[in-house]
Amino acid sequence: MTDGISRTPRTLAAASFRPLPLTPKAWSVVFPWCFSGASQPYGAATTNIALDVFQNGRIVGQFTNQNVGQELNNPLVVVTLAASASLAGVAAMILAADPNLIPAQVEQIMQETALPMHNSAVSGAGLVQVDPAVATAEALLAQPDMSEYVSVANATVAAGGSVAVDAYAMNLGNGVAGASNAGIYLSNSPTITTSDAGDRELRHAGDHLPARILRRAHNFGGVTRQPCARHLLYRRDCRLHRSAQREQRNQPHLQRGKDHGDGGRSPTNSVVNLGIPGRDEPDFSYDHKLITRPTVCKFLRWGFVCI
Amino acid sequence: MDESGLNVDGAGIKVGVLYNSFNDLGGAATDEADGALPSASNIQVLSDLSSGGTDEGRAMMQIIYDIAPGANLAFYTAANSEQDLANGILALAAAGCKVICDDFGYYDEPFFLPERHRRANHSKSGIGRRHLYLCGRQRCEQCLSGGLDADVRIL
Repeated sequence: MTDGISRTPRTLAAASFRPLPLTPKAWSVVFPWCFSGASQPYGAATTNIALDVFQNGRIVGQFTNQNVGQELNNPLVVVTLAASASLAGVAAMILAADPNLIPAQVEQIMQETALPMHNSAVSGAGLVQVDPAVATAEALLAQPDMSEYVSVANATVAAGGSVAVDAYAMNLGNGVAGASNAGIYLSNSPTITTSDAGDRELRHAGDHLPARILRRAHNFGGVTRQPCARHLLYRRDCRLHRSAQREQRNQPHLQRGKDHGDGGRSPTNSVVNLGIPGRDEPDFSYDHKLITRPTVCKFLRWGFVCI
Repeated sequence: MDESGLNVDGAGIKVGVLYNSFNDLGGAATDEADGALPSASNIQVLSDLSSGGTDEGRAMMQIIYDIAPGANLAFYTAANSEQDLANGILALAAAGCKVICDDFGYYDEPFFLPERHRRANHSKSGIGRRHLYLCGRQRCEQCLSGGLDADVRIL
């Protein structure tokens, strides 16, 4: 990614502002609509707000629509064209990470991963962060491998009945090098519980990696069910947000994704109980007790993302 | 993967820019030669202002290229007219731009419904659902409220 980046000062095409040489990492720019007052292309120098470009938390560039040749740390005047262009670059990076993201998702990723500023009324979501934004997009891309299906003896399960899924067949018993995801998709209004004496299938590889809960594939687990609000990582057993539950209701089949590596050593069973459609609330439970290093958990429109 | 750990560089994404001009001052070739812009094969200029522009559109493209060096770039002048600006949105979308960046404004645009949005939205062809439209107009109520139809998302 470093190719093509100019690392020496250069003169911009427009003599209206001058960025300092930057490396392509850890960019942060101000959201374009966070400014007030006149701006490009009217050339009015009435605002006293500079567009700062950060790198690794340090201001490395500022943009202006006047004072050509201003050096670093001089007070400059904002140009929204620089901000919107910077956002466009970040959006391209996010979309490159996951081309299937819809615009609303790109927008929300940038907003959710931005560094808040002191006054959101004028700064919007804050400083957009390309690294966390791309990381979030990549995390969302890590969908379960839908090609892996687990054969289940029951084609249908009576209301209140259960179906056993061999956790070993689900390849949950093998530790993997990194965090992985597993998902169960059920039809209308299911209740899912999983049972395993050692909870081994619920663990993440290395027993310390943060969870990643994806928008379509939900990790499962948790012997008990407790109501959950937002902080999945800090509750042992969490119930999915209702909106996420609704998304699951039309998933017509039961399956799982790829390795949910756990360090488990023996086959175990997971029991899936299907409730009565329309009556029982879907109940997806999670077990995060082994997650000891939670980092950032964001609640996005389609669910939680923890990176 | 670069030193920051990112696996992506914007490759596969085309970013469209709407502003006054791209190469009225005649520095595009130099920019491409010294690495400020990608090679000409990765830049598509759909429409440029005939004269008098300050090439700030090219400056915007330099910024985009700095952040996403793998992205393809496209440009359409926004300075001809409001109608042509709206046409530019559609043209860039039709050219495959998934992200369209626009910071140009007209004094006589309605506050609550800038002409560009209205005209682009009312266009028969419309903009595809998969385009991200970044408008830098800070007083653009339409942008802030997200009041456009679902085909165009505004940051």
